[in-house]
Amino acid sequence: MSQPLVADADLVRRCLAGDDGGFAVLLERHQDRVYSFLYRLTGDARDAEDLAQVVFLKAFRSLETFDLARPFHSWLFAIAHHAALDFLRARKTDLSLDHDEHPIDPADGSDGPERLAEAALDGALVERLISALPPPYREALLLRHAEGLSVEEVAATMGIPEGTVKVRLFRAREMMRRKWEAFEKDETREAPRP
Amino acid sequence: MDCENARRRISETLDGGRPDAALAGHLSGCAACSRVLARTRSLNAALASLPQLRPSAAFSTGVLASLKRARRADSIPAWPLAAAWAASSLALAAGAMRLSLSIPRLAGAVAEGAAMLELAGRLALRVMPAPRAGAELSAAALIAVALFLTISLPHAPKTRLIGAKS
Repeated sequence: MSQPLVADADLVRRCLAGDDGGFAVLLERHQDRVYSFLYRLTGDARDAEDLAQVVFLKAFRSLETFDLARPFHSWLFAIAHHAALDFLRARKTDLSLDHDEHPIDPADGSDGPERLAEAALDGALVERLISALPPPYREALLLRHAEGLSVEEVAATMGIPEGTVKVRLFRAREMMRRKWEAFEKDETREAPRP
Repeated sequence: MDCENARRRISETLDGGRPDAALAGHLSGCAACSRVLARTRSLNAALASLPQLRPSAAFSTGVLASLKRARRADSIPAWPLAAAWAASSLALAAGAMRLSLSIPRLAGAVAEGAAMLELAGRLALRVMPAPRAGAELSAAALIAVALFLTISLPHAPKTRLIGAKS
């Protein structure tokens, strides 16, 4: 990714000095990332847009508390995390972590290519797989891979220890892989036999 | 190393952990875990290449308009609101003093109420954004002034007469 001409921290400084133009650039620069994250977390374009608006307004109001040494995007994601959590709680979405209690079957994943016609892992399928994960797992995986945050940054964003992030990532990957394999089996079953 | 531990180690390795000899040894003899590694890599890569979505065209203009409104609201000084609050509290206190000549118990309660209202007003100004506190304080101030006018002007002599009888 190419470096922007003006660093985020300089834009924040401009904003703190009363120049709202600085925030307009920050908004333009980060709105897609924040919106994408919230859309994939809530599953609804309108909710995601409303939440993204809340995130940027909160960010604007708390710019004075922003640590200029930190990446601006991870600070934004921390605000987005809290906004999304409040929203999902209000919507009575199940945020529990008790979705993956079954132990790992050693034979799991052993289906060879002769038995499974491997479905292409296209964008639409990935979106379906990620949307099927419980929100706490989905969020960790999105921040880590779709947004490219390090484990340390994910932990700071979600306000949980790094060890907990690693456990969530492990479980999220397991769940996602199982769902992918289940999808492939369904596809194979439904495919017409020669 | 069993399969469950191997899969945990695979996940850690993908998050920057060092691949160890025990994991490598397990993978060389376990087709299932090797497949898990390959699939997990594919999933991570697919997640990393998810396209960024764009909000509607009205989004950024909406946010910037809200920011302008927020800036304007922040520029409203809090002191006129505080002054209005103080004035209404004084009005209530004055009403209470005037009433105290006739019904001391009621007057005491009103004075106490005025003090509580003033305290609530000061707290509201401290914790609420100025416009919201302003709206609520203005409504309360109107009620306080109306109360003062009601109890102290037209009905006060009547009240005193009733008080004198009892």
